[in-house]
Amino acid sequence: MNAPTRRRTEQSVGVLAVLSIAATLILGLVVAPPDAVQGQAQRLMYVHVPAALTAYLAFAIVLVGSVAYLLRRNLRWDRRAQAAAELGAGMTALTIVLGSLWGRPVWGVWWAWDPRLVSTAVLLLIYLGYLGIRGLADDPHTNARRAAIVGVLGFVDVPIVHFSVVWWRTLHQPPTVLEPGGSPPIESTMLAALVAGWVSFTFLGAWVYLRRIRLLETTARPQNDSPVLEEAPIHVSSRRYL
Amino acid sequence: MTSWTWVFAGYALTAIVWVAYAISTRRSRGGGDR
Repeated sequence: MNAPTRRRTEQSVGVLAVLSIAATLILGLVVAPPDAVQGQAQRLMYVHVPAALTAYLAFAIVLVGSVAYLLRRNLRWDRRAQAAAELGAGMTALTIVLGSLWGRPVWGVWWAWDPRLVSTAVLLLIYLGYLGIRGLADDPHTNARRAAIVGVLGFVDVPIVHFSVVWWRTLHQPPTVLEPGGSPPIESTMLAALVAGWVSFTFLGAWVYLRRIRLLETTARPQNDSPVLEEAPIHVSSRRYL
Repeated sequence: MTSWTWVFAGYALTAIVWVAYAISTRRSRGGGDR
């Protein structure tokens, strides 16, 4: 994709993000009714759930980028995985904090040692570890390889987070939109607000992701006498130790 | 605190996070696409 096309794509995604944010705010704060039990606190679900779903998507991109890097040893894939991990870690942290803001008025506590909450906290630690491991070595291909291994193995926690409310007895409510049975048990205007939130987070995430990729590629261009090879040379990719 | 307080706190935090992402991914001055 050349620069003008990339810029137009970013702008288009940005416009769609703004429109969907407007829809989310109107549906979530005005149109959707308060919950019969939770009251107005229910409205936090229209940002809490989309944040979690955006994190899932981001970590799926990390998985794809990591596998692609391990197979192709090209730093382009590593940059895509890195940008997605940065987004995913932020969305996971936001999910946890929004969950706390909801939990305080509804459950009466900021935190509970519940399988969903604990596995989500572990997910955040895994991807913070993914980002941290990238800075340990001087060679970018070594960093990319180590991070890619974490990116592949760490994704195991994503289905654990999602199915934790099905597999174990939890305080956290079962899935709504991605409920295994199929039909979401939710009122239609609430579902519309939730979907609008999901769409807006997806467009915002895509917009931020495209911008981040562009920044990473700009800084990756050779700046000195020792340019980094995009493709790992044979002696790097055949190293037996991590 | 009323439930609306928690709701607005959550939406405000969400907005702050996205603005932070937007600022951190802003093209640096002097750089750009080639």
